[in-house]
Amino acid sequence: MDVALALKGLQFKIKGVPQSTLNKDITDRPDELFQTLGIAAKWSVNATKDSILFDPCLRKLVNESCGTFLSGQKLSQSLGSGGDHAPDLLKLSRRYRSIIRVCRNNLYEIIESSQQDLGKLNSYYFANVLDKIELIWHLCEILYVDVVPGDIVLPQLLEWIRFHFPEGERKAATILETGADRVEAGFETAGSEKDPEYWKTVIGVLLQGRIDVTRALLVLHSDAKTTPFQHADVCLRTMPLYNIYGGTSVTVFNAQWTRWQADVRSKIEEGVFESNLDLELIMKIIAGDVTVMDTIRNHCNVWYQLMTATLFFSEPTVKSFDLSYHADHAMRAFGSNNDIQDLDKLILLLLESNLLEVIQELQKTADNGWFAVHLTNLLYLCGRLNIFDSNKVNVAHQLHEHVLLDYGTMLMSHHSLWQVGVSYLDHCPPHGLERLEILLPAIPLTSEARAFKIMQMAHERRLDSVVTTICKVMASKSLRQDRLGNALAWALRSTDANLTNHLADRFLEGFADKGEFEATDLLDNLGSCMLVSDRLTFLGKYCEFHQLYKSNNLKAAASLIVSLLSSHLPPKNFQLILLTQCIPLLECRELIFSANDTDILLSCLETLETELLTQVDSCSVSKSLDAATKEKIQLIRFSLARNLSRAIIIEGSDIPNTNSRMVNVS
Amino acid sequence: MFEAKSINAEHKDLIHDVAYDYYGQRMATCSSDQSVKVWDQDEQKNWILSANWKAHSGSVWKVTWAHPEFGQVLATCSFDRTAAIWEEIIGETPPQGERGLKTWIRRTNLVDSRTSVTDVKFGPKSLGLQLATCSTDGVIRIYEAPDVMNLSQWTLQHEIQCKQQCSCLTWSHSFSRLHPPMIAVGSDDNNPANGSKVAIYEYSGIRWTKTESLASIGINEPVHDIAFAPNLGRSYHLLAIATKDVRIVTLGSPPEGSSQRFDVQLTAQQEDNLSGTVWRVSWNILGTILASSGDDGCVRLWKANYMNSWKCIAVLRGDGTQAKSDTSTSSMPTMGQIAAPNQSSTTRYYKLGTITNPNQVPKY
Repeated sequence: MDVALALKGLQFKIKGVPQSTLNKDITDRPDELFQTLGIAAKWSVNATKDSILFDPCLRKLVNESCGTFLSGQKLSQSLGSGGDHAPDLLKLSRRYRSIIRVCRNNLYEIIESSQQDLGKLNSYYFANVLDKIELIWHLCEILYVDVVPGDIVLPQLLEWIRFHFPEGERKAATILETGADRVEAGFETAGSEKDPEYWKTVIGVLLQGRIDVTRALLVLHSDAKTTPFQHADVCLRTMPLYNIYGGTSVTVFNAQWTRWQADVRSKIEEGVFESNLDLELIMKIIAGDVTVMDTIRNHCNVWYQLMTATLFFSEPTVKSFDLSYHADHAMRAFGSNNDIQDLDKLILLLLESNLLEVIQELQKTADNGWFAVHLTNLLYLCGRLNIFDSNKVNVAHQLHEHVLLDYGTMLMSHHSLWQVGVSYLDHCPPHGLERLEILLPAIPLTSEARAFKIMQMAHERRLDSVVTTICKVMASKSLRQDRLGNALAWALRSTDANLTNHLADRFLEGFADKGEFEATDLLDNLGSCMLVSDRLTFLGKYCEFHQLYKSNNLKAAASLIVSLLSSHLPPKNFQLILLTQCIPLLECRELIFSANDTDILLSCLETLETELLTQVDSCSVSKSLDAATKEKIQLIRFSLARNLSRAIIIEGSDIPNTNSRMVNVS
Repeated sequence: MFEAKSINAEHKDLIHDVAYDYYGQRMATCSSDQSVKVWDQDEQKNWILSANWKAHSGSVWKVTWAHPEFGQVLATCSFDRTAAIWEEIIGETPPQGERGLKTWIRRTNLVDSRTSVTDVKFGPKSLGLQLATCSTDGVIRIYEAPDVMNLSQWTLQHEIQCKQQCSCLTWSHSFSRLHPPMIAVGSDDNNPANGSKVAIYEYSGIRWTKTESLASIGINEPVHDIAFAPNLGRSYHLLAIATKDVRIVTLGSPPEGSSQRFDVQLTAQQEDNLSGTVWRVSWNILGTILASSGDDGCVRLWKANYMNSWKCIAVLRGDGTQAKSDTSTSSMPTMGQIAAPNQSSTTRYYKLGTITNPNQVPKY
């Protein structure tokens, strides 16, 4: 949605909307601000701001460009299968640019509405960086993505200049508008030359290659009907414009061009335009006259504007590989300030097709490598990234992966953008996955929700060790806060036997102290999870016993407790508690334990008593158990004996063989 | 880019070590004043003192965090010939204690050494809960907690005689199952005649044996710190050594038919001697950036580019200003001509790992 809007915005801009007050405000600012805030200011003005990328207003840039990056990766999978992908790649490039545009426009909105000077300055700084980024991106797009047949790049370069220096066209639009109004109002001529900016505007649009606009402006001159103006209009109208799809070959075009320019030159020499100096200047410009070089330079803000302007009137069919020569030339001709700014350097490097250095320069910009990574990725997809090491091996792949890894890792260190970082690391196998394995568990687990999110991401990537680690950390955290139920839930997810054993013990301890369980809903619904560890199995079964007991299903409860006691699951210190809990069942009016069951319980009691006694002996403190334990054992024994006798009577003739053992009921 | 925050630690003597926890949100410091302090980062990124206790009866040399899955656990070692394990307890804060402070209790005291214990490090968590210590009499001790839920029980598993006084040790944290557990030990013995000051020990499943001494690259000066880079699926190990300068050594698999255990290569060595003696080296969590601190009071960050050549990417002064990073003079030997960006915009120094804070650089 935003992207589509922005593309519309792009066209809108080209058509020359009246300049907004906002932009005017900015262009009025002193040049030194530009210098301090431009891309040359790699590290921000005030030391507290480290990077523009983590600013809230640029979140959109990060998130949306990630989406574009991902669709680029999808596209890359189909790249190998053949077919023409150039339009798709161009679309991709345009999407990135429109994202930059949207962000930039948002920033200008913020500047407009913001009250604070500091906030304004920051936003202004960000917007400025984005402007420069887009300028460079656009140039890259022309030179490397949207490659035209025949490699005639000038028409696109002119468009690039027009797009980024729209002031001339805007001014032209206002002049045309007022002129048209005057003609409509019935004046004989528009008389637009009374506008002090008139000639400046005419030359401005001419240097940007807008012949049609130049002609339209000339028509508004009071003398438009006079011969020199008529001649000039003919010259401009007949100017051959190269069109790749026009069907003329470059040689034919060049011949036409030379003939036309000779024609114009002869007209100048004849003195056709002498009556109007400004008009003569314009004609000299289109004739490619070197004497007017200085004038052209004065009409250009930057050297690359000068380059395209001079090329347009001297070598319109220039090939891209010749550009570096012309760039150098234009820079020297422009040469007002000797210190080359980073932006100039980047453009020069691009024209020289020195992509490696371009990427290195870009990594220094204040956007945390956002530009470097996305541009590298795009150029890599286009197959335009060919970088050779000293052994003539193409290392573009390594470079591409390196910048992706750096950018992804950088995002992973941010508290809320880490998920975006994951998407980038996903696309640099195998190192990306290895990094994720380290970086995912290192994200601070500030909330359960985040822990789940990280787990899910790790799970999708089959990083089981990460899942386990996170569960264990969460369990350990809950345990420290004494939230046993929560800790158990996490421990179950980690399926760590040791940890669940420990937690089950803690639950049983708690039960022994308070007589009730914490987190019963979890314990009652353990299901197959209880098989993670022995102790947990016991805990689960024991809870099941309590449920049965509560629901008055005494028979089932009894058989469960017998099977528990006869197994080796219960911890030693818990056996007595289990046996004590048999008492109410034993004392029921109805017979619940069979003679056989009773016998098992009894033997359990015997073993337990011997064990307890030997334990006491080994400590050699006293020869007997403490009174409470002793009393408990006696009570259990008594109940067991009574139950056994009842059972034997009820079970009738079927006398169990345990009868042979005497029961001591003293 | 890099901003220095000064923390008034209020230790009454030299601070010897500072350690970040796994997430970089907590920090522990230890000092010659025999105490250990723990600092927590609040939402405004300020470091707030959360605990302070007298840990030993001598200078505390090193402090280190265990993996958070074992809880909030610290290990310390000291001149008093012991090493100790500490655990933070929640909810048992004595009411008379200082407001807001958390309680750390000593879970165990490891008293096997007869001389000063110079370093203590937890092993990789894939080995369970293991701890290695080394001491000036040249003994490495490996302890293990058989039940990770019970930190008061540690058993001494191995004692390795190194024959040289040990100053520092490091575990190799490898993610590959093919790599056996490995420890590198450094010695600060001043006599160069005693040979190489670094030794590498590997665990065969039964015992620890010395498998490499790095004699081929001749590290005969005292070694003050040593650190294996976390290994993310690399086939070789990276070892950073702090001696009179910073060195990075790779331990790769040897060529076929060689009797050597490793193919040892000195990958990078600081060319200049601007930093003076280097006291600490520390890797970020990925093993991609190395931080070193030296006598000149600066922390240097080293990073490899995609061609695997290491360069100094930043020099941080204690006062937070970024020293002129003239890559031309303070560079490591480069293999390719291509430089990494001379300022890494990817790091916020407290985020990515345990990089020694410039304010706590130990100066002896």
